[in-house]
Amino acid sequence: MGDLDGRTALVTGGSRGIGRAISLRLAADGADIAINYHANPDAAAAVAAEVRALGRRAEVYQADVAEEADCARLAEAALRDFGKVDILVNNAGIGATAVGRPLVADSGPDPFERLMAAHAFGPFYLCQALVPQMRALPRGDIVMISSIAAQGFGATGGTYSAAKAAMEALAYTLAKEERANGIHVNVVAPGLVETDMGLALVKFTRGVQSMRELDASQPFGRVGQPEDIANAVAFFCGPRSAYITNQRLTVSGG
Amino acid sequence: MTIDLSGRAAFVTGGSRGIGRAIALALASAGADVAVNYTRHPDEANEAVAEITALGRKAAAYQGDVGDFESCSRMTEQALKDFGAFSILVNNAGIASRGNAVVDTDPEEMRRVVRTHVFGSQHMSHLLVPQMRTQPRGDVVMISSGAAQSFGGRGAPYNMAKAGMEALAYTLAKEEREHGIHVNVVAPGLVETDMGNRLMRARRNITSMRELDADSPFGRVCQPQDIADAVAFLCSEEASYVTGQRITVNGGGF
Repeated sequence: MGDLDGRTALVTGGSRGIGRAISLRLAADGADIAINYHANPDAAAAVAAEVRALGRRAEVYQADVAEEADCARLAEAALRDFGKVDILVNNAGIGATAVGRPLVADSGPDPFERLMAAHAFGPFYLCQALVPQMRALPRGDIVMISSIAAQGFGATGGTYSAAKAAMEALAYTLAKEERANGIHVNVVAPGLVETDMGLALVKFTRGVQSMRELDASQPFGRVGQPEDIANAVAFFCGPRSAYITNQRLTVSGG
Repeated sequence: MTIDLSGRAAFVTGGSRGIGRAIALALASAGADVAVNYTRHPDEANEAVAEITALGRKAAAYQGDVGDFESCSRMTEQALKDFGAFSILVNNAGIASRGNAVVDTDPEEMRRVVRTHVFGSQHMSHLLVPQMRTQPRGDVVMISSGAAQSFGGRGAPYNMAKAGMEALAYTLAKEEREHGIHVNVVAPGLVETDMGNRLMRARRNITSMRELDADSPFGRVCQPQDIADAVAFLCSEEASYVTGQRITVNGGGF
């Protein structure tokens, strides 16, 4: 018996990194998983196989969450296959490094619009598509995977920080609107995590080749792991957070 | 306190009406020349220009939508020809959202509001900050809103936009400090403007702001001048060690 038995979760960007860990953790807790991926079908298929090995149902869906039409198609397909979506984890994202970490004054409009579309518009489209059916369920959960960048606002991360700040604004607004319908909306904000995106970041900002070089300097003597983030998401969706909504949990080792 | 902005030039977006007009006039009263951007109301922009000119300062009006990069390029190119340089940029232009829940909001409305406030502020910073770096001092002031802290229901597009705009400000502040550029945020609560009037008519069913005075902080609804005073202070010598900060001008809230 798991905390999430009988529930279905849609995890965007669920095939790799933090999203993969979330998919596996929610499945371990009993949820069936709809795994969205953007560019890597093999990785998605591998996570689906792992979810099935846990005895849970899994399906994979290609979609670019930055695109409104893709989100509509994604939500429709997941609802068709699973009948409902109880849990939406807005995890898909693009790192600031992917657009070259420009200064605010130097950034052209294109990379900025791309980051905003992926982090803030995509979650907006998916909430619109999935919240109405959640209202009829015993409980609904939406978890946004944000970033400490939405509090630290470090130089050269403006495009990413602004997108994450807008995503969090969406979460806190939606939390108030849907509480009466039994829907919980919360935010998990990771610090540095050992993922492809995290590695690209520290290669760029600190010139290291392996996360192991950083362990000694990190909180608790280790770089944050995707499972650390997945643990927080599982907590927010589980019975121990029945009275928790509109909240943010920073998972950064302090 | 004497605020002296003589010898400086300011570009105020949305400077023809409401808070923007008050800012344009306050900066001109303190000695600055002012370029006034407007979108749809040339008569009001010309009025603002006439009032500034009557104060003995140089003024001109520029039509353009800050959400559109080409439009911003065109405006700043002409304005730089006319004024030579700008050491003050006030990102004030804004639009309200329509008061719908996330689930009921037209995605195009959400994109439009984010485009104006977030992309618009970045467009203008991109175009005007580089030339500020060589001046003795530069100032960027973003006019945000209490909404970026309270995240009230039925305001997601606006909440997302203002949160994103503030993220830009705090990032830009760190990036440009070494160039002597100050970046700060002024966050009004309810202000007596056309936008404020519409909001109150829709939400509280009143016909005149005077009905709200008695219940407002200090016995009155906040005026555009109150916001303009904060902007003038932030651009002045009095605030030469202040950057990356937010001043909330709401009478202490309710």
